[in-house]
Amino acid sequence: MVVALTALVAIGLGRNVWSVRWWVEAAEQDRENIAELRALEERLRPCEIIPS
Amino acid sequence: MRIVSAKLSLAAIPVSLLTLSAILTQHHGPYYLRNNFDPEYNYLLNSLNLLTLHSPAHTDHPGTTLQILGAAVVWLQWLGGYLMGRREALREAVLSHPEEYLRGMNFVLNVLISGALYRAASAIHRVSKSITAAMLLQITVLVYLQTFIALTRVSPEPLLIAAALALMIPMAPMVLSREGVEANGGRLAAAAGVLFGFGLITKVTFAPLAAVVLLFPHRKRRFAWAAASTVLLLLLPIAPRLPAMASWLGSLVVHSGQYGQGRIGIPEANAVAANIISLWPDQLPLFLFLGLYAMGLFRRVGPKPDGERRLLIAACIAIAAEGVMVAKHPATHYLVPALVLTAFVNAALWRRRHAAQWSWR
Repeated sequence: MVVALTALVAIGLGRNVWSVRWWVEAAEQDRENIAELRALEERLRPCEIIPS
Repeated sequence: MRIVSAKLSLAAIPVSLLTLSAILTQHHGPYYLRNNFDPEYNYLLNSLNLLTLHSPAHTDHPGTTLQILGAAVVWLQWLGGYLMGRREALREAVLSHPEEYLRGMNFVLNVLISGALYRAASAIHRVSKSITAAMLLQITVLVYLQTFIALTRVSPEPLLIAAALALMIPMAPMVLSREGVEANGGRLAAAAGVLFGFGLITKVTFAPLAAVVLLFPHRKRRFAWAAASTVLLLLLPIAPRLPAMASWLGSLVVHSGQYGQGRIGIPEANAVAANIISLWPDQLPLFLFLGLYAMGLFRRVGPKPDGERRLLIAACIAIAAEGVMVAKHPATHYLVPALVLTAFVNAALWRRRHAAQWSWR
């Protein structure tokens, strides 16, 4: 049981290193997408339709 | 010298986690972003409600503990700013600099997690004299992605992690100590009851950890009284909202759909199966630990339940109950209390298997 327990913890830890990296990259990507969207909004501001 | 060395070893992971929390929070970005503001801004504004002597309007979790903690942090932060020359009224200060106050709340939550991680491991080390078991507790917490995500949030989950770790402090002597616990049994059961009540009011997903009452075989009533008193005390700030909260929580239980939607009844079997399967890849370690505990339980079948059996039964009940909760509402962060519990179970099992002339209570 102890061998299985140790193996599970070790595998879980290794797997989690990858998961945390993936999560950090996803969070950064999300922020970049938002920044791009804001930049696009700024660029399109002159094209704003003014209601009559 | 050996005690100092043990303390330093047990402090390494909590201090690293606190440092890492600053880096991860930076990567996570500001709380006003689409994926980051819920429930953060709810908790900030309801903490402000408490400070302006209004009952919190958000009672879904119910989360009163986090609102009280948030109120204390916000007030201290505001007072610090005021004394340093930022002359703003409390409400204006919070509403014009919400991100600063959320960062303050996040930092305090991370300090609580790190502190509880250190104290829980110290409790294991004190009663078992095993540094490996104590460190296994800390390492198991790091096996789950939810631990790291919680470090970036201002939500009930970080406080649930801290509460579940704190609950291990009175549990450790009950499970691992060989002598002299009976005299303190009542005190330990009361402390565990208070911590369970605190966790339950932080978020109802803590409810499955009620199974740890099995670790206090002669003090169940003391545990229950302490838990009930704590719950009643912590519900006082939201007393006017209790009917609405009860209606909301009741609808979560009796309706077949998610978040109180759908007809009254149990969900379809295929929906439950799909929900459980959707959690499988993310929470693989938890399900594997559950399998391991169940196997250990079957191998220890005997006429009289000993300490190890009680622990394994409590762990299996808690994880299974958490599984039932998420079968209707599939989200990995709802499993946080069960995830943290596995850290204690692993540490105790390790100690059991490695101790010479060991006898479980």
